[in-house]
This record gives sequence, C-alpha cells and structure tokens, in this order.
Amino acid sequence: MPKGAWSRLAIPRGMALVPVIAVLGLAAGRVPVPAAAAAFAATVFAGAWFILRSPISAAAAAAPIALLAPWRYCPQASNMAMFSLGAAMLWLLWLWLVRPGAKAPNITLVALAAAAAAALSTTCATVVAASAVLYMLRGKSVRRGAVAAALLAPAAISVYFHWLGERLMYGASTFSLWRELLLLRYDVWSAPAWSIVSHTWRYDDIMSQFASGIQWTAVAAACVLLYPFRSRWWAPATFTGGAFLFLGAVFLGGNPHFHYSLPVEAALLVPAGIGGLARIAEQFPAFRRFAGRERAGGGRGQSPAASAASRNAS
Amino acid sequence: MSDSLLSRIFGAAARLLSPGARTAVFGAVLTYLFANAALRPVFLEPPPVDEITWAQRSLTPWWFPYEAASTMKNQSPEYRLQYYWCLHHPTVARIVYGSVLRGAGFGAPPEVEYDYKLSRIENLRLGNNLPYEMRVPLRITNAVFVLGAVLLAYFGLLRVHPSRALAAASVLPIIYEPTIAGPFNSAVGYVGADAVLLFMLAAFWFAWLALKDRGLAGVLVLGAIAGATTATKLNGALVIAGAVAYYAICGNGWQRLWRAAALCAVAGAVFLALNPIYFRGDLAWAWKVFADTVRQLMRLRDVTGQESWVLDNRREVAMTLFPYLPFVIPLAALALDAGRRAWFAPTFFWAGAIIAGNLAGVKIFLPTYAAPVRFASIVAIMAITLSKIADLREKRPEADATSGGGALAARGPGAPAGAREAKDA
Repeated sequence: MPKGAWSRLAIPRGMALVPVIAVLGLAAGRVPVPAAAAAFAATVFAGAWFILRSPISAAAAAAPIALLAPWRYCPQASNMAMFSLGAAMLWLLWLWLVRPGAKAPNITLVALAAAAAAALSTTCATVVAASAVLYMLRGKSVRRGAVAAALLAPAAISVYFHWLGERLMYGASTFSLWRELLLLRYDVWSAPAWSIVSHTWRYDDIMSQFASGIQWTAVAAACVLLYPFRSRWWAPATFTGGAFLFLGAVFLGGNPHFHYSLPVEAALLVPAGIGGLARIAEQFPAFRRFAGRERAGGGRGQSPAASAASRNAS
Repeated sequence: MSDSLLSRIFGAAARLLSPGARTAVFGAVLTYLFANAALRPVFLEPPPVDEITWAQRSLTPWWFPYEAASTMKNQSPEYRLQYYWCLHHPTVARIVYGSVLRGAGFGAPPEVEYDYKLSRIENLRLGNNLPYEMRVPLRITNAVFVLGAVLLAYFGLLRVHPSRALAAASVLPIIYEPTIAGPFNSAVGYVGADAVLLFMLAAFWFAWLALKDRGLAGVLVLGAIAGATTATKLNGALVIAGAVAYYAICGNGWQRLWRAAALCAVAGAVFLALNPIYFRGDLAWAWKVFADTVRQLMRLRDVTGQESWVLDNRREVAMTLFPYLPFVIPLAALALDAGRRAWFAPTFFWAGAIIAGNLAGVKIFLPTYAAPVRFASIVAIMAITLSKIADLREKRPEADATSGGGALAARGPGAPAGAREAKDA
C-alpha cells in the first residue's frame, strides 16, 4: 500500500479496530469479559493519548480502569462490558471528529461506527450512537438520508433477528421485546459479578455496605476539577460521554455501586483522570517535558490563539 | 429571571441575619440532619460485640491502684483485671463513659459477661448484652461527640471558603458516611473509643488551623490536644507524627527542632497524666507497661486476624478502608492547586498521617476502624474542592476583564492567581 493511503481513505488507523471488534461481537454473541475489558482499557488509553499526547499520561489515565477490572470470565457482566466498550469507542470517534483542525465528518466513518456500536451491544448502543452522531452532525452539510440509513439499519436488522428468533422458537405472532430493544437494560449499567468474581465475598459485603455507593465526595471534587476545562476541544465529547454513563447508571441502574458498575467507573475516572493529568502538566513544566502536554486547540472553528487563551484561563 | 428572583430572596434573607447568626443557622441545620441520621444507630441497632465489656472497663476506676507485691502473679485478681483494662485502652473514653453511666445512676456493670468464644448472635440469644437503659446513654454520648466533630469540620472548612452554605454542604458526606453514623457498628452505634477519637481528631485539625501561627502558645495547646487524642485511642498518636513532620519540613531554622520537640513533650506529659499506670513504679516499670501494651495490641490483632469473617488481603483492606484510592490523580491535581493556601499544609499532614498510618497499621476492616480514615479523607477532599471553587470565583472576574484570560496567559499557569493567594502565601 502506498504511503499515505490510510489518510487518503480518511479512516484513522486506530478506528480500523471498530469493524473488527464489531464482527467479533456479532460472531461470538458475547465477547468474554476480559477481552471486552482489555479493549475498553485500550480505548480509554487511546483517547487519553490522543488528548494528552503522551503514552505515560494516557497509561496513568487508563490505569485505574485496568486495576479495577476483574480480568476473569464472568458472563453476567458481559453486557455491561460490551456496552461500555461501545460507548468508549463512540467517545474515541467523537474525539477524532472534533480534533483541532478536523474537517467535516466522514460519512463512511460515521456509518461504520454506528454499525459497530449497534453490533457490540446488539440494541441499546444504537440509541447512544444515534444521539451522539446526530449531535456531531448538527449544522453540517452531510447527506442526512445516508446517515439516517446508516444509523437505523443496524437497529432494524437487530429487531428483525429478534423477531425471527421469537417467531421460530415460540411461534409468537407479535413481537414482545420492544422494551429490551429500545431501552437500556438493567444489566448494562450495573452487574455485581464485575467485582465479585475477582474479590472475596467479605470484600464485596463490606463495599456494598460501607463504600457509599457512588462516591459522591469524589463526584463533587471531579466536577469542580473539570469545570475550567469545559472550553477545551475534548470537553464536549468527554463530558457528555461521562454524564451519559453516570446519569444512566444512577437513574436506570437500580442502585449501582461504584465497584459494581464499569459505566460509573468510566464516567468518573476517565474525565477526572484526563483533567487531573492536564492540570498537573500545566502546573509542572518538568512533568510536561516528561509526560507531554495535551493537544492544543479548541476544536473545529476555533483559532489556536483562542484555544490557548481558554487553556490558560483554567 | 428565576435565578434573579432566587438570588434576591436569598440575598434578602441573608441581609436579615448577621454573619454569626447565619453560621449558627447552618450549624443548626447540620445538627438536625445529623440527629436524624443518628436516630437509628442510637436507638434501634442491636448490641454489637464489646459493648458490655466497655461498660465494665468504664466503671472500673481509671486511676491505677497500688499493691505492694513483688510480681504480677502475686497481685489480686481485681488488680490484674484493672491492669489489663489499662493496657487494653487508654483512659479518656473510659472516663467519659464512666461519668455518663454514673450520672445516669449506674454504679456497677451488669452481672452478665460477654462470652467471646460464642458468636454475637449466640450472645444475644443468651442475653449477654448491655441493658437498653445503659446502652442508650452511651450511644447518645457517642452521637454528641461525633456531632462535635461534624461541627468542628464545618468551622474548619469555613476557614477554607467563607461561604457557609458551601461549608455546610461539604460536611454532609460525613453525616451520611456509613462508617460514622451508619446502621451497623458505626462510630455512633458502637460503644467504644471511636466517637471520642473522631472528636479529638477534628479538634486537633481545627486547633491547628487556628493556632499554627501563634508561636509557643499554639504549639503547647496543640501538644495538649495531641496528648488527649493519644490517650483516647493509641492510633490518635498519628496526629503527633503528622505535626512533627509538618514542623520538620515546613519550619525554619531551629523552629524545625524546638517546635516539634515541644509538641512531643507536652503531648507525652498529657498522655502520662491521663494514664497514671505509668507512674506506679520506676522507669523499668513504665517500660514494662509500654511493652505489655504493644504486646497486647499485637496479640489482639493476630487473634482477630484469624477470625473467618475478616479480610486477609492487604489490597482489599486498603480499598475498603480508603475507597478513594482510584481517584488519586484528580485529587492530586486539586491538591496541587490548593498547595499555596495557608490551611493546606496542616490539613495535608493531618489527613495524610491519619490515612497512611491507619492503612499501614490496620489489618482488618471494621467500620469503626475505617471511620477516622474516611473522616480525614472527606475533610481533606472537601477542603481542596472548596479551595478550587474559591480559585474559580477569583479568576472569573479577571478572565472577564481581560477578554478570555489574556492576563492569565501572560502571567502563566503557575503564577499566583490573586490577592487571596498572595495573602495566604
């Protein structure tokens, strides 16, 4: 392949993993949790690297996620891990699309990502993909019909296969899985198996009784830490993704605990970790030389001077 | 429009009250919320382990009797029991509980004893528990001490950020912390030294913020509180370690030495005054008491560590005691921002000593063991969060005035932000 072919295809090299994982997800039905957790941590690492421009900082941002993952086979947490992976990949895609100096989003890429996200968690991520992509495409002159088809096709295929399964297995004439297909299921937000398979029963008993559920103290601290970063180019994608996962878990997760819920862990640790590392790099020139500094720029349409001013203002 | 209306309403209400009255109003709100949270552990929770033993040791005189016998084996059983109680826990909590029980009309412990060979449920079934009318006054005492700790944290946080509403909101996580006022074995519900210890830790932090620039007088007062804290529970000595580290690192010249030495000397004197067992003999006797105390602590730790219900994994113990470990990076970033404030160094050394010392020394999880760690963590996290809020409020007018932070850009991100920082530094 001649040099520069990747860039001419306008598909970032990292995103080539998306269809691969999607195909794997479709083929296996359920990807084992360790594989999903590894892919999730790698996606977080890639996103953090993209923002902070340093593998050391990116590793530091992804390390808590990797340390909290069970790294054991636990089918009960499979849906949660795959859903989180889909959300993380959308976040990565969003970052790529709004990176400083980026042009209008590539329709092929958007369609691929939507299909991959839908395939990863079969139903619910389609809604997430639709919301995120429609937000990204607001005000842009793209072929909206094609985008809608790309978004709806995976959902339609998914509904069709579910309906077919119901028809063949139970002989049902009507379709009864609307709720499961349209709403995000309980087990994607919180799964006790996430923690239980890798800890003693006593630890889980203690954490569920005495660990304050969703670490509200840390939530407050993280919000205050991240407030000055609200005008950075990576803020809309990172904060929206985090808020979506956090609010979804709080309102739909049925009393989720921090250590039971990968979405809550990701929602709190990823933005706070990136914000914290960016702040440390601003404070310490030595650390900046050692571990890099975040990618400058205010996203599409913002001048480098304005973005530098917004960075300094924090 | 609604924001404007709300701010007008709050502004009018604030103008009606003096600053002191507003502080008192928020203090009353916190008292009400805490009382609400403490109702269940005080009145409804079944008796935990040790409650009856604590009543026995509290009603034993805290001063130490003298018996002219050559060896411990020749001493009377009462003497040996009192020696054991003195080793088991220092005196402050015993003095407090003893005075409460005597004030409530109980001059002697109940006839029954807790059988440590049986489970808690079996002891409950056999009736080996403290009578309700003895238990409730002790738990109310706990609640009063923990409320004192909450209010001291509130007043301390007011020194970090002047907003009473924000300071009051910042101590809510303490009120609703399960290990402090939760339903099972919390500092409020468990009759032990932990509630008094929380109060002493909070008192030390508040006194440190208030007195750290008062020279020798401040050091002496801090030493007295540190001695009383150690005489409440032995891990209270961690605050002495924190203060010594602070003076050694942040002091200037000879202050590094003499302030640390003066604090240790006063703390030691107060501790010894509250524990007269050390004076019943020569220096060899005092050393024997100290060695027996350490031996007793190690033995109890080993015995408890062999129980089937305890955690035996150090990583799990650390995570259960201090669940904020995954947030180390963002918290470090916030701490760096707060590093120039005058309150930061005492708070950092105070909380750091309590957290690190307990994580290093505690081998099992009990809610009452976790309570000091969680209390110090919440206070420190909320302090640096409030400081960041104060920073943001200061920077906003500057950024507005210079159209997008031009002045800040010129000054650079590492430079002091404003008059408040200059004053604090």
